[in-house]
Amino acid sequence: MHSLGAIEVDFIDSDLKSRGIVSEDLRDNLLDHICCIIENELSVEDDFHEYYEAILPRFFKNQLSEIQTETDNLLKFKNFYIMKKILKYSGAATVALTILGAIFKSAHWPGAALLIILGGFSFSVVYIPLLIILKLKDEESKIDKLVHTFGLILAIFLSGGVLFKIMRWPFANNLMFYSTLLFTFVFVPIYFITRFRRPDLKFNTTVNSVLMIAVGGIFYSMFDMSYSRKYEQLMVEDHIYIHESAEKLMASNNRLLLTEPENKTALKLHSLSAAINSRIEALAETITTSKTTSNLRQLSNGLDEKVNSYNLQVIELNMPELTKVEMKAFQRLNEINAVLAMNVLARTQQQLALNENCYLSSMLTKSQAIE
Amino acid sequence: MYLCLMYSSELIKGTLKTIILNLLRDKGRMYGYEITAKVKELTDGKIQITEGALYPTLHSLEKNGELETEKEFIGKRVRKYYSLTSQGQETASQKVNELADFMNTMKFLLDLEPKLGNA
Repeated sequence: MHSLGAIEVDFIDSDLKSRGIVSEDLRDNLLDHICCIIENELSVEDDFHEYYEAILPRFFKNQLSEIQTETDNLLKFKNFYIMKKILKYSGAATVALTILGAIFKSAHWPGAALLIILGGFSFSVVYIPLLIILKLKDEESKIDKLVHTFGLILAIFLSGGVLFKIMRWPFANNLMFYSTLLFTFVFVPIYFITRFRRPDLKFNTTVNSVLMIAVGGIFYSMFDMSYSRKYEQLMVEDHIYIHESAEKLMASNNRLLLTEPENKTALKLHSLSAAINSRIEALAETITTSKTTSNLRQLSNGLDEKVNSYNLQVIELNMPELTKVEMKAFQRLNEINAVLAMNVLARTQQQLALNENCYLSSMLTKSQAIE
Repeated sequence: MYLCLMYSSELIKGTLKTIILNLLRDKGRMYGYEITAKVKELTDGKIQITEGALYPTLHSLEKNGELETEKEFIGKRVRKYYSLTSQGQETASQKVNELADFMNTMKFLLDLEPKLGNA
C-alpha cells in the first residue's frame, strides 16, 4: 500500500482547483477520495503522476468541473419544484388580477388600482424573474440563455412601463418606448438569427418571430409620446387667438388708464399685471427657443411673490368680476409639453388683462355716472 | 453520471439517495470512498456509484438536513464522515419502503410474480 505524502496531497489539491473544483468542501471530499483510491490501488512500481492521470477520468464524462456544476445545481435548485409551483400560481394570479383590475377600471369601481398594481407586481417581480431562473437551468446553450434572459428583462421593463402608464407614474413613456423599441428591433432579430439555422427549431422560431414582430410593431406604431399633429395645430391656433385677444385687451387697458391718471389703485394693479406679464413673456420666450418646458422651474422663481401681491390686490378690490391668478398653473409648467404650456401662459395673460379691463371700465362707468 | 457496470443508468437513476441513506442507516457513519467501496462489495461490483454522482448527492442531502458531517484530519487532508440526522433516519425508512413497494409493483406489472404484495 502506497502512502501519500504532503507534496502529493498538495499537488492533487491544487490540480483539482485548477480543474474547476472551486468549493473547498467538495475539493476536500474529492481529495480524500482520490487519496484513498491511490493508497489502496497503487502498487510500489507504479508512478504516482501517471496513475493519478489514469484514475481521474472515473470522476467525469468530459471534464472534472462537471461535479462542481452538478453539486451547484443540486444545491441551487433544491427548491426547483417549489419555484415551478410559485411560477404556476403567480402566473394564475397575474391573469386573474389583471382581468379583474381591467373590469374594475372600466367600471370605475374602487380597488381597480390595487388589483392592477398587484397584477403587474406579480408578473414583473415574481413571474418573469422566476421564468428567467428556470430558463437558465433548462437551456443547454449559453447563447440561448443570454437571448432568453435579455428578452425576459425587456418584458419586465415593458410590463413595468404599462403598469406605470396606467397608474400615471413618472417615466412610464420612456420605459414603454425603449423596451418596445429594443424588443422589436433588437431582441427579435437576435432571437431569429440565433435559432433559425437549427432545423429542429426553425419552424417555431419563424412563427414566434413573426408573432413577436407583429405585436411589437403594432405596439411601437401606436406610440406617440406627444399629441397628434392635428390636435397640436389646434392648440397652437388656440394659443395665438388667446394671446392676440390678451394683447388687444392690454392695448385697450392702456388707453383706459390714460383716462384715470390719478387713480393710484389702477396704477398699482397695472404695474402688478405688467410685472407678471413680463415674466410670462420671458417664460414664453424660453419655451419658444428651447421647444421644451423641462428647464422652466428656475425661471419661474420670483413669480410666486408677484402673483401673491397681485392676488392680495384683487382680494382688496373685492369685485366679483376679478379672478385671482392661480400659481398652481405655473408650478406644473414643466410637467406638460411646450404647446400646452404656451396656452396656459396666454390664458393667464388674458386673465390679467381681463381683470384690469373690468376694473378700469367699472371706474370709468363710476366717473361718468358722477359727471 | 449514475454509472453502474451491469445496469443501465436509467434503471439506477433515482435510487442513489435510497442506497446512500440506507447504507448510512446500517453503518452509522461513512466517508465517500467507503460508500462507493461498500456498494461495490455488497453488489459484487454490479453497482458502482461514480464519484460524479456521489458527491453532488451527498452535498445535496447535507444541505437538505438529511445528513450531518464530522471532519477528521488524515495527515494533511481532511476526511468528511457522513451520518444520518433524525430527519435522515425518517427519510431513509420512507425511501426504502417506497422502493420496496415499487419493486413489488414492478414484479407484478412485469409478471415476474403472480400476486401483488405490500412492502
